[in-house]
Amino acid sequence: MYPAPFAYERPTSLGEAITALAADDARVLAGGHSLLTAVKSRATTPGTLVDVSELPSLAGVDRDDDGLWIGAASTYAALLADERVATVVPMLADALASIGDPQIRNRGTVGGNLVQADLGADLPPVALVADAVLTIHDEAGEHQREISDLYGEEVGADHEPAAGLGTSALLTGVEFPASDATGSAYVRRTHPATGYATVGVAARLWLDGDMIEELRLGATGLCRRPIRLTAVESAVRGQSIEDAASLATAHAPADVTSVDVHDDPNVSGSFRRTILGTVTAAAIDRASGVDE
Amino acid sequence: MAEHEVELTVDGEAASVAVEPRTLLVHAIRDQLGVTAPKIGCETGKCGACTVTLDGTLVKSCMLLAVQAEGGTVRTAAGMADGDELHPIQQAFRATHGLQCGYCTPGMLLAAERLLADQPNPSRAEIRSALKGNICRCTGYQHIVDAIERAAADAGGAP
Ligand SMILES: Cc1cc2nc3c(=O)[nH]c(=O)nc-3n(C[C@H](O)[C@H](O)[C@H](O)COP(=O)(O)OP(=O)(O)OC[C@H]3O[C@@H](n4cnc5c(N)ncnc54)[C@H](O)[C@@H]3O)c2cc1C
Ligand code: FES
Ligand code: FES
Repeated sequence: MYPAPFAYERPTSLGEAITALAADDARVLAGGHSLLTAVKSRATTPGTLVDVSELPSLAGVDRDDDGLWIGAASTYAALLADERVATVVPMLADALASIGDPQIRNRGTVGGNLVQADLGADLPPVALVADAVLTIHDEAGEHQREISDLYGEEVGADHEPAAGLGTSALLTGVEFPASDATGSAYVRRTHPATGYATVGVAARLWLDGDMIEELRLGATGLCRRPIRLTAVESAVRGQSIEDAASLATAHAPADVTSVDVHDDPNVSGSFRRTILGTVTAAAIDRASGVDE
Repeated sequence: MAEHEVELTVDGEAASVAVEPRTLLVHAIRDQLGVTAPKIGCETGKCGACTVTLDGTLVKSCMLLAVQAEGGTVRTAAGMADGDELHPIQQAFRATHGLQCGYCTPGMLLAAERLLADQPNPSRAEIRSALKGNICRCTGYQHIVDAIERAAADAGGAP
């Protein structure tokens, strides 16, 4: 498989990267584990790949009272080796550990995962539940965006990034704000062919004794965008944790009535709808046992 | 497209290759340097036949551009044996019938070596999860897992 020709640049500063990305046909290359697949099949034919995987401004993790900042080019493996991640955002550690396989976790990056948001990608629902804040650089400078306004109703073709970021913008970091939740978790059912999530659910839970004060849920695998499960969230509010599983299975279908659920030869849309409730119940159960 | 001169070390030998940006690392290693241990199966990051380590990190060499390996140190399964003396992990694969056609083996060996470096005494479940990125169409995995258990035991890891 030989891609169409393209140029390759490896900028050494943020300024150089932004300048390189201003060209019309330039694209960010991070871990390459979604982009290179599309480039190889010529589904995408960029003129220049701008490799940011080793750019210092996109590297590292920083923890302070406001939360956890993660450089966009951090690999999944690097984050799994950093115990602050599991301590501050347990559901993020769960999701990172469930991605692909060791080789993929060694290369794939948080920024690429969130921007691309492939069907069944594990990190977008976690970022949605966490109200992650993205730092974006482009020629106009730096700005912040809420993760929830990144994934619109309209998404591109299967191989194109789901996030409406534009190809000249560079995501440099993702802030996971500190939370006073009781616990959080991410649980998925793995797709038998792609290895992505068939359905995956991130749950963040606030408990008062056995009573659920608040629950936030995000799901992946149903359609190209991660979605919040607001019907289940409101059904369980004020209820006992003991009843959460039956409420989740009863109300999850309401969260996907207006969603065009993805169908493929291995896993039908109706199967995805059917297991949504049980995967949600499992995520809530796990969140109740994992302290934030 | 302009070619890039890429300097890298493969199995201990310094090398320099002129590549187009679109050249995948696996093609540079196999076609230009003649090191054919990494195989090409799927070319989409699924099968792991092309697995090598780059600066000690296990990667699928069909999922990187050769230009991204500039200055790097690559290890392939061809670098494991010491002359005619097979590496202990290779010996364990041979002893337990951990291979049939052998196509997946170069990737399996490196994944096993990486695992045993991190975890000298892995459980069968840990071995399986370390091999998740490496597909074998022949063996059904049992003997591969046996081989890695045996390599761990031979190295003094297991009981
Ligand atoms: C076999 C296989 C199995 C996989 N299984 C899973 C799985 O189980 N779960 C899962 O979540 N993912 C899975 N993936 C996808 C993998 O996690 C990718 O790494 C991820 O989707 C993209 O991240 P990347 O760093 O590789 O980005 P790239 O492929 O380099 O880029 C993806 C897109 O994002 C853009 N981009 C990247 N970084 C930035 C940035 N900082 N700013 C702006 N734009 C940017 C690129 O221009 C491109 O359009 C799998 C991939 C493969 C090949
Ligand atoms: S050839 Fe690289 S993963 Fe299959
Ligand atoms: S031995 Fe044939 S693919 Fe594994």
